Amino acid sequence: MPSSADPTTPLDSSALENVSLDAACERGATILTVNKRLARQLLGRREQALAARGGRVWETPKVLPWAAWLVQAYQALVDDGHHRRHPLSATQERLLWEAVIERSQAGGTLLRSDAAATAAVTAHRLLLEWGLERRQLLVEGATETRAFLGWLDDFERRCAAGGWLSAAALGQQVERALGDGAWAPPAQLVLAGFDEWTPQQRSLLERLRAAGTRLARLTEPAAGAAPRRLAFDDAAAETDAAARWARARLARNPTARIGIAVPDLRERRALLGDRLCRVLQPEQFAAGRAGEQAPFGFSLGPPLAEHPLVGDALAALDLAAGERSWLEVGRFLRSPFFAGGTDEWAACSALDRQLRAARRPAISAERLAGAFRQGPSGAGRCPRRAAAFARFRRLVAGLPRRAAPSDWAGHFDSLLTALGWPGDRPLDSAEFQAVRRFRDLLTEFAGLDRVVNRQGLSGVVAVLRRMAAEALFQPEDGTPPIEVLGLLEADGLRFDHLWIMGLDDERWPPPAAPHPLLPAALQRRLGLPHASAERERDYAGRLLERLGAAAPEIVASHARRAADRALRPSPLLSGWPEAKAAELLPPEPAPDPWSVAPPAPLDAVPDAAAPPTPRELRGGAHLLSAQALCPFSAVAGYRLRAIEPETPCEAPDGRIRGDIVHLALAELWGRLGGLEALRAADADTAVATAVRVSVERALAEASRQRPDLYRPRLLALERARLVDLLLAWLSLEAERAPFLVEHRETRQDLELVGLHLRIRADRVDRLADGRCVVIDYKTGARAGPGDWTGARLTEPQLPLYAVASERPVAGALIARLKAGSLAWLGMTAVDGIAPGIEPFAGTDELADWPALLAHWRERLTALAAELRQGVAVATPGLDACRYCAFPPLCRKAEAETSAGAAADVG
Amino acid sequence: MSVDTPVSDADARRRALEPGGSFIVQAPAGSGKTELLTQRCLCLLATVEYPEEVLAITFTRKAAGEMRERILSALHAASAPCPDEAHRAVTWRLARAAADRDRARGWNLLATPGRLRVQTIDGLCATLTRQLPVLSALGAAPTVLEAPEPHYEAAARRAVAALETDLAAALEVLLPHLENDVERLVRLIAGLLPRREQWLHHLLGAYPREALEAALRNTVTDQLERAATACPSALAPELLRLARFAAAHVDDPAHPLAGWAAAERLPGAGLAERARWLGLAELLLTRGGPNLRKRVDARQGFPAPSQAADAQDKVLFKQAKADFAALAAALGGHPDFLAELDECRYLPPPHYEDAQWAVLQALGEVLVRAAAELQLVFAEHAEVDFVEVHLRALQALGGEDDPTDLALALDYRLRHILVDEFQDTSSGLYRLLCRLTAGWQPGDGRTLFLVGDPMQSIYGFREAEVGLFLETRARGIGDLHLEPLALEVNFRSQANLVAWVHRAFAAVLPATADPAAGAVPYSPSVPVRAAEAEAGVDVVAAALRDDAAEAERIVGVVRETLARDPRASVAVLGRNRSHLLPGARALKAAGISFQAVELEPLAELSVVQDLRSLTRALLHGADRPAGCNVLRAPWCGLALPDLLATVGEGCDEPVWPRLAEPAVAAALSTDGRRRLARVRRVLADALAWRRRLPLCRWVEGVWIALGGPATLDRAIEREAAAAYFELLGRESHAGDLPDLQAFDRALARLYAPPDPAADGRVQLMTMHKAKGLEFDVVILPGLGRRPRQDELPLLDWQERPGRHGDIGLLLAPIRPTRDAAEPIQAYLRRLGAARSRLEDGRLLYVAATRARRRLYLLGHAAAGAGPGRAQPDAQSLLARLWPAVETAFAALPAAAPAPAPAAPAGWPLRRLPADWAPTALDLRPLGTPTAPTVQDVEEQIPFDWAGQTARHVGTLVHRWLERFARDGAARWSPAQVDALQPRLEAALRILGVGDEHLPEAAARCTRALRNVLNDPRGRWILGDHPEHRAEYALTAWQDGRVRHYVIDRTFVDADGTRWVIDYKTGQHLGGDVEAFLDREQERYRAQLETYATLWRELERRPVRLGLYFPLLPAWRDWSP
Ligand code: SF4
Repeated sequence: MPSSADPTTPLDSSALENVSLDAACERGATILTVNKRLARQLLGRREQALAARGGRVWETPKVLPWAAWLVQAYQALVDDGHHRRHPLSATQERLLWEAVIERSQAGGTLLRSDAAATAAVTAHRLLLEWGLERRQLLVEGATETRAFLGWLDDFERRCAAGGWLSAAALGQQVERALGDGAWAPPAQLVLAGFDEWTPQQRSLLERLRAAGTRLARLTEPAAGAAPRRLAFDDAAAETDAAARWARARLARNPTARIGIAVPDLRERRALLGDRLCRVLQPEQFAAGRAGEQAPFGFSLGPPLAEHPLVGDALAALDLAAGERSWLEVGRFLRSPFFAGGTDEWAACSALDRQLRAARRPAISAERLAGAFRQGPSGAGRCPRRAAAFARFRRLVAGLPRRAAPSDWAGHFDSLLTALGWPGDRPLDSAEFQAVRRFRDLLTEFAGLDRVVNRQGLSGVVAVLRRMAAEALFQPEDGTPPIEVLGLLEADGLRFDHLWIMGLDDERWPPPAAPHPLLPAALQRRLGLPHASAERERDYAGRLLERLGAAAPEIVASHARRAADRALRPSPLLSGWPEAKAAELLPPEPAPDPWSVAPPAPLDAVPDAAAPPTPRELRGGAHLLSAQALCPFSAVAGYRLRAIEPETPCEAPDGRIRGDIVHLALAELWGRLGGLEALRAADADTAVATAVRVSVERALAEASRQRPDLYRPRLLALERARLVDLLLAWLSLEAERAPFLVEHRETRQDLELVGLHLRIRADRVDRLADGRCVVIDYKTGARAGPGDWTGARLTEPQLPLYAVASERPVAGALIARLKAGSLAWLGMTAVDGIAPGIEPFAGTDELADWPALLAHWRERLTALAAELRQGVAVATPGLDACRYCAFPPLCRKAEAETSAGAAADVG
Repeated sequence: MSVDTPVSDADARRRALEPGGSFIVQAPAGSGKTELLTQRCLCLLATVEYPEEVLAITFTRKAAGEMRERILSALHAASAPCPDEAHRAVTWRLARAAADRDRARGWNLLATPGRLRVQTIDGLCATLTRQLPVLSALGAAPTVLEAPEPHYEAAARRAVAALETDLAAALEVLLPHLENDVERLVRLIAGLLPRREQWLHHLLGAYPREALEAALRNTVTDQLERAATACPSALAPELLRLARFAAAHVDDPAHPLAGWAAAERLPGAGLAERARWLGLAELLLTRGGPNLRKRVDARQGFPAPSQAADAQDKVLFKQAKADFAALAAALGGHPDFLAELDECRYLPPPHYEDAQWAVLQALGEVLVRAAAELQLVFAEHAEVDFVEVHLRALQALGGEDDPTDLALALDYRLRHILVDEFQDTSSGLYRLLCRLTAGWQPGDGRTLFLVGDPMQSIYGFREAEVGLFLETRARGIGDLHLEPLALEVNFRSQANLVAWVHRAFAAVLPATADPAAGAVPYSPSVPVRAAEAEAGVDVVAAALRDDAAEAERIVGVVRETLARDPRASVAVLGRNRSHLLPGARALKAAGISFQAVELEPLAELSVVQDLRSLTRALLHGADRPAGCNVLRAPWCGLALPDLLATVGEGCDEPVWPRLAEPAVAAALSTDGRRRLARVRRVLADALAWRRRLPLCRWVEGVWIALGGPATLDRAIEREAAAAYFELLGRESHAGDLPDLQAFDRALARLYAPPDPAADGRVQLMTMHKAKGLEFDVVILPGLGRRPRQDELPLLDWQERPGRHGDIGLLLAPIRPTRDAAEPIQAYLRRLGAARSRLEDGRLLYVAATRARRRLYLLGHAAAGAGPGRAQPDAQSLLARLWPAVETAFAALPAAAPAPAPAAPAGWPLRRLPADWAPTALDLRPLGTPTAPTVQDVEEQIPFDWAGQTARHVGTLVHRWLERFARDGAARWSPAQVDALQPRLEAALRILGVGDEHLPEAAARCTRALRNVLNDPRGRWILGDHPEHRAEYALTAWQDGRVRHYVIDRTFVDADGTRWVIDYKTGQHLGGDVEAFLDREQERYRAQLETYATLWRELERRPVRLGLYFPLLPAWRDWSP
């Protein structure tokens, strides 16, 4: 090719000498690819070809991506003493930008300076690759560009001071060295997969050519494709079809190289993974282990931080920083990736449950250690995790307050080792790779000393976490026959079958997206990537053209709808003939993992009886209440004890606040003794003092239990509120007939038809006539007496106390202690026992007060008998079910739908 | 076709297509506004340089999609010949011009449809912030959350927690107001944060009591003035006389009428006159509404004649009563006056009490703080809500005085903006529009085109301000005057329906416009379609709420409609989702498939509940309820006795370890044992895979293995299961569900997917969702039902344009928990209630006008005493529609409530047979994947943190030895090596050696290199031998897989022996070097002998292996 040899003409890709892969390898030329993936595929193809020809051992061809080649060239410059500057790693560079941006005026207030740093890195790369003039940027740019240029100045200053070099500047350096004669050009280079060159690349190549390097272009004959296109209802149907197609092709030829290319792989990854697993590994899927040894692989994985093993490691490092949320502590306890992770899982989970019972939202390492040591279920049950945590804490105690990343990296390693990371189980291949990748990341992190300040643990863990979030990780099991990759990554590759999906008009060509930190008009003029719709269209069109020749079979597809929008095929597909799905897909339906369990007729057995209840059962009055509401819920709650783990509370909730009122009232009546104290001559001050002291006591107890909830100011506010509340309440007590408070929160044992119940009335008063009144305090909004005359006593507390009372009972009262609606509620035998309460006048069935008491005893006994017998029928009702936690256990939803279904039939 | 004859509003339509003008178009239902928008877009495209200069803003993404589709279709069709129908020809001609422009400018819109700017407001704001990362202070596009509630809560919590730090003063006022209920305060604040676009700017500015009280005063005086104006002057003397009479006859000086005693004239608008207005209201009106008093008595100052002291008084009293009756009769003709007078009774006090003010101020501080905390929470998570994107976009557009030059940022100039559904504009979008059009002048070639129908403004709950439409129509935006145009032709509905709508909504909607109050009057439509034989509207009246009967009626109508015309479309439109459920169930029971979006909550299905339990049980070893339910669900189905024995009576231990205990199995029935054994096996297998698969795939696999799919017999259950796994996939992170509560919240938002069998003829949706759609038949069920009520917010506010053009802000704090009322709040609530009543009327208008042919209205109104006294619930939609449908309810008999059906108790347990086993799949096997490429074994050394530096030293030494070999050892002397120190340091640093290790590491490299050059063996190794290679990379095909090797050094010596040498850069400290070397030789023997086999494949020379230790230096060699 004369023009490619002529060093004075501008370099033209199409004018370069064309060589085939084999020829290039045999020449011993270095092949530079546009990206890593192409390098790998070229290498793999060469290997397959040689192995097929019976080759056993051969010299590895030199195939490497352009960027890696530049790094090598720069390395040589360093070894030769021409350069000393340190090329920044991607992370170092980003962190440096971030520091610059955070310090700047424009950047200091950004919501996401980290993302701005990423944008600045790209802008800087474009600036270097496209040789953008700063002056020009200043002239054309607005606020965004000016901010970027300001950052750039600072960035360059720091680079100079630190002896650093942006990775994007390597090309320039090598080119310069070539000009200075400091670097010997290679004899020959073969370029593969470059659709276009950046001005920087072009200029370096031109210089190489001038220096005598023989440049060639890797070309391969078109695969002779006859591309077709298909349309599907939605992305799910499209993905299904692609999976079935891939399965059919693979079944026909197990060594076929199959590609599935997608413009938006990141978004579609989950869907694709799911469908490919279902269709290609239905048996494994149905056994809960799809994904192992899969015949497909993705070019792009999720972030490393999302790998369970790494995610848990990062979370565990956070544990060293002090208090953590209960969710994180729970995650640590349940994790399989630390010592005892397999055998002690249930015990550790129980420990989590136990910690949650205290309802603290934040748990310190100390508390956790304490739980390990002395939890009621005993440390003996998760000894290995406990020991690991103890080791961990000892190390934590010795951690520096601030240190450099390289120091921290060592500490992190030992902290994780102390915890027994990555766990007791043998690692599977993906886990093994994740561990290795994480360690590489730690190594890279250790290299951040000069860009990250010495700082404390939580700061550096955050840096590490971000690195892990940005590092994509895809475990690899060889080269699977089906490769799923992004459209750009597929460029240059060859397949036997290629399916390009997602080619609708919204995605392809992609809309213009000029870089926000550079002047848009300038970008368009110079033709920077993504700068304008025209450029995107041309680029996307060329790419599609190349992909259309990348395999003997090419299928392109798109969805007709996405959410509530209609989609059209990409306009760039207009030349591709439309096919019918039936022509490309196998006739049999897609393999479906669910079909291992086809719908089976279900047995229906009666199940309303539990075995008799033992005499001792925790629950007291609540147990009877549950039995009255719905017998099944009593079984579920008190016998099966199907009780949800507690949810921590971050502020005093109704329960805690109610407990305090109870406590304060118990205290108060302990001091006052009875009505007389309220009527004494000096009552005002004495009562006020008693109230204050009682409130103080109750709050002291509350804040002893939960110092995190009751901090000083809230405590003061609560003190004032409670004093007001109690004083207001006492005015209602003052209007009562004379009484003495006989019991306050006294435990009592009650035996009902062989059922032993432990109950505790809030209060029992003795009246002048010797009879007593049982009292229940209610602080909630829904405080009211239940139905005490009906057949089922769904609020049996007060009747139960009445029945248990050794003295004759003259009243059962609820004290409603809600500010704004303080009141006495309930039933009494005679008038005047409490203000506003009329004596029980009888009903149709219950003639008088003694009849009511008898009714209570009879109903409660019947309830207890039911319980004892094991009556467990579910009796749904609006009130019963509203706050019930057992619907899945009682099968109510199922019963309703099957009743509905039966009705449908009938 | 009648559509092609010129229509009555043809002029308006023509005008709307003039590219130079700015317009605001009122387009009632069915007037074809989308077509008009499309036409205008096309017509503008034909005039611009770049297509990006035209921006169309739609209300939903769906609408944006449709509009884009229409424009593209029109451009496509432009290459075909002109159609015959007149209205299509208009579009064709416009499209033709646009297509010509496209060609002339080389836009190629059909190949780059992305260049058409048709966006929602969210989309527009996202674009703006993406292109303006610095001005919007976002830095880069953050994730925009669909469900940001947890962030609101976190921010609110932090703000309240500042009680203990720097916000004590404010919170010490606010909390006692709410009985120190921190949780409630947090909830209330969190509830206000999504609406911060509305209140934040008010609270941020100066917050002067004086200005706010002025607004209160203006509110009062405005209303008094309205009353005074409305007062019929002819009746004034009589009013004055009788009021004075009454005042003279009330004894209580505190009586509302007392102030009239010495009155000389009717009261005016002054604050001091308020008492007399109240007195007058007391005299004339009964409690609770603008109803005239029919009789007066002593309480109103009209003593009974029988009470008179003497006969004269008796006559006087009698006369007064008669006069009052006459006055009342006359006033009956002035309902507007009575209404205004009534309003005077609810006015707020004209100033704040000090305590109120303190609360208000405290609240302001706390809310501002919460908004600030929200920013921090957003920053920590790199996530924001849609509101934030709006606010940031607005910020990026710059202030009024210094607007951002968008042309620079966007690379094109915005010349034309079209906004659809302008009646549902929020003040946020309005402000955005103001900024986007800042500086636009009439006639400068830039135009604004707003389309909407104020009668269809139904998004008040999303901050839509219908008043903005009216205001904008009256005043324009900025300097831009907008010419009002009105469409009136209804292309959609048959004439009978149009006529009914006309009659009904003229009465339902208010008579006059009032932007401040959100009142929009009815504006009429002219039908194009002829009347059909049927009346078009059926009112199905009931006396009692009976969902089942109503649902049956729906089924009947649907059946009948489809029987008559199988292609007809029917829609059931409900106010809330819950209003649709009875109908949905009945349709399903009747076997009629229908399309419904987000109707049935999946969390209520047992299959989803069981899956939730399975997930929890697999994630948390001590979640007892979940564990119990895994054993109870149909795939296992342990009956209660077996279940109790398995999980342990009254025990709190984890369920899981018990499953494996022999004692447990022994206590079970035979059936139970079999069931448990099967499930235990599956679960034990499953746990070995804990956290190794994506959570959704793991749970699904376990579920299949348990037999889950076998237990599902209904299609909806299978879809629900699939939807559950999809959700699990979205919500899980790193194979775990970190926050189960968050997952449950997401689960509660999960609805049954649309029925795939439905063809769209029958659709169920909310009235709001139906906006913009049309159907042959529309059924509106549950009109008599009362909507659900939300918790009252913490802060009530209202921007109130005064009668004199001034805008005042009315603010009220929530009432204290223990008090009954807060008058300012009560007043604002009243305004709010009036607003939502007006909006309900519009909602009905939207719903009713969806129908092309027939409309069914279903509702109940409790029959009062006697026939014809039925009254709908005041909150119901029926109450709004009452004037139009009352007659249908007149004939209803009073009915007694039917007893609630007793819920069934007890039911059998459904479960798989005990011997259930999975079926094998019959599949063609696939080839196994290619085995992995294996790297050189040396790479897989176990991780040794401390050895990192050593590794880097090794790398560098290898590199330099390669260099020496390449250059020829002869060119290098030990002395030269010393000079390399700086280069070595630079290289080591690049490799990642930390500063503190650098000198040591470099020294070690130098030592190694010097050793080699000093050592004759070293010089020999590096020497210039035949076929010498350094770092020689080989690939081998071994055991069916590819392996890669790199050989440090190889050459052929004089004897023709192939040397294969590996460098080991390890150190050895301490004694007995020989023993160390022996160990090393053993360690690497296999590795080197593999190398030897490679060479045997390549050539026939004898091979000799060597290990060279440059740091010692030492050497071992042997023949394989
Ligand atoms: S949901 Fe209803 S029926 Fe089921 S256990 Fe609870 S209360 Fe009983």
